[in-house]
Amino acid sequence: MSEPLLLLDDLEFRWPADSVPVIAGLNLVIEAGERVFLAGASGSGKSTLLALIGGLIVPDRGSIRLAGKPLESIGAAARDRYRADHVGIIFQQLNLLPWLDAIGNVRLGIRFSALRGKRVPDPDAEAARLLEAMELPRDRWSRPANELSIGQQQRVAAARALFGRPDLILADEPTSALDTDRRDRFIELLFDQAELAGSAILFVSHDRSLAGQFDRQIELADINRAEGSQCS
Amino acid sequence: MLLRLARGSLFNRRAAVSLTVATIAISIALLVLVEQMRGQVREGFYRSVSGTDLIVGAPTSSVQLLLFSVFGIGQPARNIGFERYLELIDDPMVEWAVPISLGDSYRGVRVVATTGDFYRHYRYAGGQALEFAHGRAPDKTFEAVLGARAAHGLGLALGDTMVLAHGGGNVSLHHHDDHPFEIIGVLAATGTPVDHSIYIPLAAQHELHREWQQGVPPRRPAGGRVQSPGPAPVDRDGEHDHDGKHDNDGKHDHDNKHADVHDHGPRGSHDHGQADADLHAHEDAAEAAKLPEEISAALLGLRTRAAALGMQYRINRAEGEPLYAILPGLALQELWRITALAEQILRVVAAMVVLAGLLGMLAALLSTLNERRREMAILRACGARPWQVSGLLLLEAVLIVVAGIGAGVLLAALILRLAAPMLLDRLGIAVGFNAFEPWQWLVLAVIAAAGVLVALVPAVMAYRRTLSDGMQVRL
Repeated sequence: MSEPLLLLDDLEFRWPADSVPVIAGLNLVIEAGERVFLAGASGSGKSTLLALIGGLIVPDRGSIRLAGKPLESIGAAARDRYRADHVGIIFQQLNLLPWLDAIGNVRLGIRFSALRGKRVPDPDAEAARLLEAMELPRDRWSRPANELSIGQQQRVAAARALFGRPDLILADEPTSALDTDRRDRFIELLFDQAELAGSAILFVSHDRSLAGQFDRQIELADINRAEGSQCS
Repeated sequence: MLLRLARGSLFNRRAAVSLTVATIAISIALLVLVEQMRGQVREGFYRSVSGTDLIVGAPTSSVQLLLFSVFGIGQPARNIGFERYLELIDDPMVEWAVPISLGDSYRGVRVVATTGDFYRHYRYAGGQALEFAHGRAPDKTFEAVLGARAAHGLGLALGDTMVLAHGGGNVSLHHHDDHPFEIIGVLAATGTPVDHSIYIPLAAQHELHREWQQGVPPRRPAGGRVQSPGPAPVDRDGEHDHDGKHDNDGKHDHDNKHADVHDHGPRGSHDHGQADADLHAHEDAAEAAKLPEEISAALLGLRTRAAALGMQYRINRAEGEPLYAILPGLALQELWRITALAEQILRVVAAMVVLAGLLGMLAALLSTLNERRREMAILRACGARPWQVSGLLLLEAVLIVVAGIGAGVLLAALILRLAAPMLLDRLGIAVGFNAFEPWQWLVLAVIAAAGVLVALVPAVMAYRRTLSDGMQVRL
């Protein structure tokens, strides 16, 4: 245990169109396999933070070390590859290519990562295992994603994020479109599979009632010192 | 990897995509058809003259001489003396000479008066000889042979008889109903204008017009000499106006001073086989007596093709009645120069339609760009680099263009196959689908490249959007 999985050090970022930074002086450490709940209202810089961790944008100041590599010092293409290799992402909704079946959408998780691909010698079997584990009915596996219910789509999205055992799962309000029962079951299944895969989870949500299930809870407003962060 | 995604994405939008492909296919088919038809028509024309080294007629334009002598289009302005034809045969360079004499028709079908040499020596499509599908060449005067399409179009068969009309049109003022012809042969199809004519012995045509003076038939009681017209379809739709006004262009302007020589009375004395009227028949004065004074043109085959230019020069410079000899290949070139402008216009139109097809594809791609922003963001989240996302769009466009070109070529081949019978019927040209020449492949490749270029527009837009959208679409 030399280095944490993710280390955000004094991050600052300002969108070119804005006058003030949306993120400033932000520090965050996530250890491998840790489950972290990050609470924040929309507009608090959540999406920007996820884009920074995903390597889609680089901070104006500070450093992002993911799995030992500083993202701000490598090129855009390398960051894309790094994201594909180390991060699985689940959004609030519309995670899937609507015309692709569930299995195909899960397999998208390793389409762009040779590293994660190597961990999955038999992609179809592993996709089936994950869909089974996420409790997607077997008769849905070959259906196009747009024929699945929202809850089913989120489970497919989770299976894709977990596919190839990435180091970190970024989950951006993945349960906000689900009702309470499904939400709890979803988080349960996600935790089980993340543990199996050895993936850490950074779970972003405004719904603080979920926070108790995580190892650690953080208020984004507490760690983000940007002044405009509440209204950007 | 991208290919499977592109295929899936296209299949998902298959209705819109197939319309786009169809648009491109139709435009490509038009382009291919224009080129194919151009090549096929040229080839078809060339097939007809490929065995003929020189065509000799009265001075006129070479295109006109070519068209009326071989292609059955138009009329000769003047004829040449038969003696000149005999001189040509005697030339040591000449291997064969087929006389062509025009002026009569049967229900709109052109009648060509010629000799047995026509069946023996005429070659088409690189050396193929004429063959009889049924029957044989004439050996009596009033026997006729039909080209394949003429027989089919007229619904005539062996043993039927027909009465020729003077002049070329459907409606003729004079019918040669005193000399019905028996059909004794039908030629096998050649895919050349040969198929579209009726062939009668030169002597028969001479006989038909034997007593005419200055292009006007002699006064005679109407139908006085009709010899049982026979059961066959006999053209009786015109009036037998023997005082009729004919085209007094001189092509039947028989010299009166020979009228007595040819006065053999009605048929029966003409049983000398025309098929025997070969190269040396003219040496026999009695045979010569049955031959006409004039023919419209002569097709010449030389002992060596290389002699054609020199021979042409000699004929055109010869003293006496002026003759005009043309090299069929060069005359065709001249014809193509005339048609080149129309061809260019067709090409430009086809090119514009292809351009319209590509723009249609651009419109279709652009219209999907917005609804696909979400998909691009998903791919980005999965680690796709921006170039991979725009590459996906480019790949889809390439697939559309390639499918469109492929479908267009197939469509053109299909249309050509369906249109072939009609073209054979109307133009007497057998068309098939020619293999593309290298430059035509190049044109298709350039179109494909243009399609890719057009598709770069949405691809670049997608590239820029994925950079600004990131993983999240900000709506």
